[in-house]
This record gives sequence, C-alpha cells and structure tokens, in this order.
Amino acid sequence: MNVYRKNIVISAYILIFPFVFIYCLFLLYPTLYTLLFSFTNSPLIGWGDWVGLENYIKLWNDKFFWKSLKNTFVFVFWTVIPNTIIGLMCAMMINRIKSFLLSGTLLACFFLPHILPVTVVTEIWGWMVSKQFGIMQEGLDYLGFKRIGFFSQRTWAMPMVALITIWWTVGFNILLFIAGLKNISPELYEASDIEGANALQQFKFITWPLIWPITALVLTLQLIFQLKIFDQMYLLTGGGPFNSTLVVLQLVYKQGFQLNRGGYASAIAMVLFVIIIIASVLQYQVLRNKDKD
Amino acid sequence: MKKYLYSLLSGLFLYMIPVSAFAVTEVIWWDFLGGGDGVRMKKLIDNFNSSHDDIQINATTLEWGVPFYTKVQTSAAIGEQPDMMTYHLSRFPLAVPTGVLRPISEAELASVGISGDRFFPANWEAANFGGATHGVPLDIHANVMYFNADMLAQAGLLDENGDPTLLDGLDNFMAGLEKLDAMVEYPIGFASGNGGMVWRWWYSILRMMDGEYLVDGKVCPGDKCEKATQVLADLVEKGYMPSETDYGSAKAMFASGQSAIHINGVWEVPTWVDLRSNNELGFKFGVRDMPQLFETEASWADSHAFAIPHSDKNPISDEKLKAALTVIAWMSDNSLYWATAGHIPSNKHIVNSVFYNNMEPNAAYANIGNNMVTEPFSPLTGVASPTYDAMTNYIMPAVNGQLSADEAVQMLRDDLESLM
Repeated sequence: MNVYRKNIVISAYILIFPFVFIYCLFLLYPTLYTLLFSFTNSPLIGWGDWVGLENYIKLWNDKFFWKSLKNTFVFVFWTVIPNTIIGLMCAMMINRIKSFLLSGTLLACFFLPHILPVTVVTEIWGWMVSKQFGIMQEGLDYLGFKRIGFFSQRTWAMPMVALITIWWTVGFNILLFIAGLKNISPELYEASDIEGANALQQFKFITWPLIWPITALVLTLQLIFQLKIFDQMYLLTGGGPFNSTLVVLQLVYKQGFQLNRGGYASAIAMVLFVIIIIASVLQYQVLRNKDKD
Repeated sequence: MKKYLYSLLSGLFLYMIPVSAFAVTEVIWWDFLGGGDGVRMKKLIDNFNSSHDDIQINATTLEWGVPFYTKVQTSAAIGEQPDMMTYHLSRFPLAVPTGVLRPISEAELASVGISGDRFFPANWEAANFGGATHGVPLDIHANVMYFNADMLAQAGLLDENGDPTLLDGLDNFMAGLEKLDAMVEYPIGFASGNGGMVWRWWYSILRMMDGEYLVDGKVCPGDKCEKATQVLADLVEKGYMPSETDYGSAKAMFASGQSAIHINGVWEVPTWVDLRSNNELGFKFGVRDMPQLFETEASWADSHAFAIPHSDKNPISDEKLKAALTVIAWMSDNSLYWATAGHIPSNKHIVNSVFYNNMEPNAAYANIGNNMVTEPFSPLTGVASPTYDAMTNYIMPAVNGQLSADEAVQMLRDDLESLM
C-alpha cells in the first residue's frame, strides 16, 4: 500500500513537473524580477541602484498614471458588459437555429475575427474609417453627416476602440455561452412550454439562472483581458487625442521602452498587476455569491 | 563497398563547404528602410555583395521607429545584435547614454579611409555626440514641398522659370492657396493625422520664426510654438488642407490630383519619380524647399547614419568590425546612388561632384544643406522620442481644430517638462 502511494506521488510529481517548471521559469521568475526591479532606478536593460519606495511615491504623484488608470477603467466600462451581453445574445440566437449547417456557418462568421492578429484587425478598421478614403465615411456622406475622424476625435476615440475590440473578441464569448446553453436540459423548456411560459419568462427563470456560472466566468475573463488593454491603443490612437486613450500599459511602454526607465515602468506594472488580481478575485467572488442566493 | 564510398564522398563534400565559406566574412545588417528608399538600399547592398568576394552583407529590414530601436537594445543586451545597423543621428542623445552604440576610434575609421573632414560639419558633430564617434553619417533628409506643376501653372502660380511664386511669406502663400482652392478640393495634401509629419512641418515653421523648442530645461519658451500651431490650424480651418488625414491618404491625394501641393520628406522623391517614369502620374511634378512663411529659411532635417551596436556579452570581433567598417566606407563612397532615394549624401565630395549637381530633381532642393534645422540634442527629441508622441497627442488635435493652440502647447509643456 505504502509503496503504491509512493509511486503515485512520484508519478504525480513527474507529471506536473513540466508545467511547474515552465510556470516558474516564464511567469514566477519574471514577476519576482519585475518586483525587485520596481525598487531600483534600473534602465530597461541591466540593474540600477536600490531606491526603495521612490518609484511608488513618484507614481502616486504622477498625474499621467492616474489619468491612464481612469482611462483603463473607462475602456473596461465600454467593453466588459457590452461584450458579455452581445456574446450571450448571439449565442442564444445561434443556439435556436435547428440547421447545423446554418448555425455552424454563423458561428464561424462570428468567430472569424477572433483568429485574426491584432495588427490585421487594426489595419482593416484603419482603412474602413480613414477620413479621406474610408468606406464608412462614404456611408456618412450618403446619410448627410459630416465626416468623422474616429481615432482622432476625443468623443469617438475610446468608444471606437471599444467597438473594434468587441467585434474582434466576441466570438470567444459566444463559444463559451453556446457550450453553457447546450448544457441546459431541453426538458426544462418543454415543461415550461406546457405550463404556458412565454419566451421572456423562459429566459428569466431558466436560461439566465442556469447560464449564470458561464456569465460570471465570461465577465471575469473579460475584466482581466480588458484591464490589460494595450495593442489596440498603441496601433490605433497612440494614446491620443490629448491622452484621452492613454492606458496604463501604454504608460509602462512609454516609460520603459521609450524613456529607458525600467525601474519606474516595473513599478507601474506591479501596481496594475495588483489591481487586476484584486478586481478579478473580488468580481468573481461577488458574482459567485449571487449564484448561492 | 560502393555504399561506403558514397558516404565517404558525401562526408568529404559536406566538410568542404565550411572550408570554402571560411574566407567570407558575413556582415549582419539591420535597417528600417521600408519605403521607396529601401528598394534603392537593397540595390546598393546587392552591388556591394557582387563586387566583394570576401565580405557578404546579410541584410534584414525591420519596422521603423520604436520597434526597431527597442529590438536593437534588447538584442545587444543578450549578445544577439547585428554587426551594423542604420541609426538616426537625432536619436544619438537617447542612445549614447545607454551604451548601445559602440564608439569607433579614429584609427579604426582611418583603417578604411574614413575621416571626419569628408562630412558636413554639423553632421559630423552630431555623429560625435558624447565625445566619441558613435556612427558614420550616410545622408541628410529634410522636409520639402512637392507640387503639381500643371496645376500651379494653370493657377498662374509659376514664374517664367517654372518656379512656384507662392513660396515667399505667409500672406503670399495664403493668397496662392486661395487661388488653388478654387481648382481643387484641398490645395495641400498633407498628413495632418500623422504626428511625425506634423512635427516636421511644425518645427520648420517654428524655426522660420526663430523660435526655440527646448532651452535650458524649458519646453517652448515664449509664444512662438502657439503661433506655429495656429499657422497649421488655420490651413485646416480655411479648408486649404484636409483634417485628420493619414500618411498614405495624403500621398494618394497628391498622386491623384486631388491636391496641388504635398509637404513631405525628400524620401518620397523616388515615389513620384517612379510613378512619373511608369506614366502613372498624370502631371508634371516639381520639388522645392519648404515655403518660407517667416523671416528665416528653415527645413526640418535629420540624418541616417551607420552605427555598430555594442554588447557587453558579445562584443564584435576584430574581423567582423573590419568587415562592417569596409561596408560603411563603401556605402559612403557610393552614396551618389543613395541620392536617387531623395536623400542628400553626407559625403561632401559626392554633393560637390558634377554628377550630383546634374541630378534631377535633387538639384532643385540642393539649398537645403544651408537652411536645414536639426532637432535639439536631447533625449526628449529624435525619432520615436516623447516629442513624436506629444505631437500626436496635443499639437495634432490642435491643428485639426479640436483644441486651441494655447491649450495644446501648454499640455505639451506640462507633459515634456514632467519627463525631464
């Protein structure tokens, strides 16, 4: 018995070793390194002198940090809930289609943008909304509106990047929701049909409560993804106009790569890291508790 | 037996390849020349390779700007850097303190026949930032004005020599644009939605007013930055130039005759020359110095240089260094061809040659050597510096009428001064 247990333990260690090794090497080690870095005045490459909490104090007084934090949360506001709602709606729509071919095609259409690299996504949209030659501007002309610089006007820049992000990533949420919807027993719907429930009631009392664990998961994943927003801003707006789309990771990039201040950039990154952990754990707990009620 | 013989022979053959390749030194080259000028550089590299048996260039073109410079720095940190690379002189103040550029001694330069006196003095001084030679200048590139000669002639804006008459003074320029405005939708096709382009014209205008950008830790002392911003904002506001237009669209507007004037760098010369020679440009184009809107002639300028990256982990070997310097010297000697990419060679002997002075359309803007203004020596300026970002972020919205010039310049000051 003992020998048997020992064998199990050994094989368990062997099996988890590759994962633990890679996790430590590529995640834990760099994270700890970044933490140490954040207490130094290091350049981007190589070590600097130990400066204690100086970077964090500087951060507290850096108005661009607060601005970027605010913008990051604005972006989260524009994306997380809309992306989840749209995902659920599309999933329910696809789920109702009986024809496998049609539902498969639709799902593929929604999922297609998700497999595109971010550079391709931003190029496509850049062309479509280009103020001089973009096809969307032709549409505005036709409707009699003035042309809009979607990425260069303060009112439009953030919502536009959010819209593109939703277009790009909603396919993944649809996939998760469809998996959840398939798990709901059709008998529940049949029974409620017999009892005379209408579609709205079915959604409210069957679909919504039973899909909730998936919704909580999607919301949490979205929150984590969107707090890490960088690529789209870097490629589409560059943080402008007048910092209205400057997000935290862009500030990290600017300080670290452009100004060669690795220590300070690490401090900003650590703060974002902590914010993401707190926000996602908090959100997931709150959403899960709702489940228990 | 036969089988063994074959394997013996093939083994021998494989063994011979490295032996025969041993005599050739490979020079790993990185550049960021992706436009019309990149095509010319590839030709130069091919010419070098076919005329040298002992040195072969292995070139890679990477993304211009911050991505390029970040890659250079990170690769040097782990000892995977190229043997040589292109580098903007305006970025030396940011690069030299990081130690990524290997100083090149006078003796090393002399070993391939390079000395400082072959370059324009300002150029050579910039290459010696930090008290040592950190690179060898290749060219000077500046902003110029391209124009649709047919359209300007039709508007009566060309004199008997074919020179545009609207280049002198702001009022005169505006009056000329008004005439053109009756003929085309936008007289000027300018990339008003590109921070780098806005910076280059804006800085030229600032220096035409003898304004300063950075003095003793102050950004934009006085009110000239506001004035320069207002000049560009007025052009948009009056409908003389399109708002929020990206780089490609601005070029397309000029090429398709939707605008009569195009403000851009000399590096776009090959674009128009090639289009014209392929009969794809439906008009005769011309190039001149930037319109002189204020008392002083000025045109923003920067330089491409060759530099050798330094790595503590894996310093360049003597053999590779010699080979890289040989390439650099050859490129400098052969930079007449590089001038067909629009650039002005840094090598004075080339610029003073008869060949260069008969080159079209380069001769039309040869004066730039005298009126060029380089960016201030500071880590805040230079290619892909915080200044480029700040232009996109503050000045560009003001030019496009989203913000007043005063507000924009104040934001620019606050931002850049906080970085000092």
